[in-house]
Amino acid sequence: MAASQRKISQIPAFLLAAFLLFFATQLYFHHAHNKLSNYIYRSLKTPLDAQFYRAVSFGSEQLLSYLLLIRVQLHDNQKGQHVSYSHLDYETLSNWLMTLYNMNPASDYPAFLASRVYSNVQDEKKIRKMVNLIEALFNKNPQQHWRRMTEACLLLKHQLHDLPAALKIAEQIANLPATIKMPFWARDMRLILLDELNRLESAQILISSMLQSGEIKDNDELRFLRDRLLKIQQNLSKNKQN
Amino acid sequence: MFSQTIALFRYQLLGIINGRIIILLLMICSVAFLASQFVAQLAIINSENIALATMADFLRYSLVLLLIISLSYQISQDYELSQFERLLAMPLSRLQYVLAQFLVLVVLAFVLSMPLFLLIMLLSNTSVAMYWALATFMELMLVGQFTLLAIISLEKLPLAVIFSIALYLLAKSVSLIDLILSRSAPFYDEEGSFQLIQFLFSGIHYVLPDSSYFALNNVFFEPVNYVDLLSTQFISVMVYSIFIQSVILIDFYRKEFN
Repeated sequence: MAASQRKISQIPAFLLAAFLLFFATQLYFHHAHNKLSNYIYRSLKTPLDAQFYRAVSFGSEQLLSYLLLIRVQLHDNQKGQHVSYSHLDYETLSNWLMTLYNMNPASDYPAFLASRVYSNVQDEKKIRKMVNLIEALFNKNPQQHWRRMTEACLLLKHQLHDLPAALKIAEQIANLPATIKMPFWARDMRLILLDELNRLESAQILISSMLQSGEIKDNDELRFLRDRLLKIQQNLSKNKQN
Repeated sequence: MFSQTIALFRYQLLGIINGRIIILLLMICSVAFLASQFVAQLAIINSENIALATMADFLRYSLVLLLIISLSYQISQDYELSQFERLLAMPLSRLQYVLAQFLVLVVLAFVLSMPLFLLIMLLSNTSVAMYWALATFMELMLVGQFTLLAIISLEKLPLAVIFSIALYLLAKSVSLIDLILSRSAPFYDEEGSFQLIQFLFSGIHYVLPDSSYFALNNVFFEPVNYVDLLSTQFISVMVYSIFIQSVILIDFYRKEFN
């Protein structure tokens, strides 16, 4: 049987006063804390060992690796504000991407983020960090990462204006043994690099070739590349009209 | 004997499968679906597989929790309302009670796995859905037997729920504990207490399920042989179930009801 309730007036006054005081303190504390933490940028924490993440995944290591990648990817959105990539610590970011690749070597997501997302920054050192990461991933598994290496070539040529470095990477792709299956255009990246094409033209050739090769199976990536190609084509036609 | 067991099973089943559990199940499925679609929006590539795997794991852990609570509640009521005393006054053996509870567990695990199968089949293909539903069914059977053991031994609902969850998490954390011990070994290898812990854990290893007893979420990302995985899990769960059932029976037969 439920106990009936007494009137509020029967509660000792000091208890009510204490309640009001603590309630006001809680409201003030929450408000002040929120105000203070509003503008603090939290930097990316150093990742732990891939083996640790694998052990805490309870057998869902591939899912956990993707969820951690999404968490890293969302790091540039803090408290509803977008933080520019130039604020990110690329050394830590690179460690995260490598750790999550080690956790799930079948995944192309870390290399994709390096070549397509985090390379969109106006900082030479940061772009080089991403290119180095792509190169390291390529050395681990050339069959899986040759596409990202071709993208790294264009990054080096058009964003860093470092043709010799781009040619070196193209040479690494060309020197791959015949057992590594990839289309001819990828082995001939040097020709694309040496051609007098601008950034948009090179990107158009690369993306069209990738789409035509049938190597890309993921629907999201196909959509992403088609959108990118459309934008490039629009920009090219605008340039021509001008 | 068989008809009595079936009658007891039907009586117990009515108490556990009701409208409340169906509504809860529908709510869990809806939340899992919404959460997975949210994750899919965040992923740039491979979003379909990530969403499916997220939903599958969310449902797996929610269903395990639901099963533990439902079973523990049902049997704790038998203790609280002195049902055991009444049942044992009838010509019923304790073996029949355990058998009836096992049958209830089979039906409950099946009912919980069905929406999982339907949801994954709608979003993916039949073979993945079939694998995940069967593997989760076996995982639920395993956890359900932990719960039966816990509630029959400990009698109280909160204790049984905490014990079952702890045992489940311990079984899932085997690789983490292994990693901690292997990383600590270079620093504490000489110490007696560390050697004792290592010895104890290697002993516990033998009576705890490992990853082969549970549904493998990686199937959503890579092609695997479902038959191989399911047969390995089936054999492991079967052998372990016989062992757990014997522990439950010994414990139950030792209990004194006044």
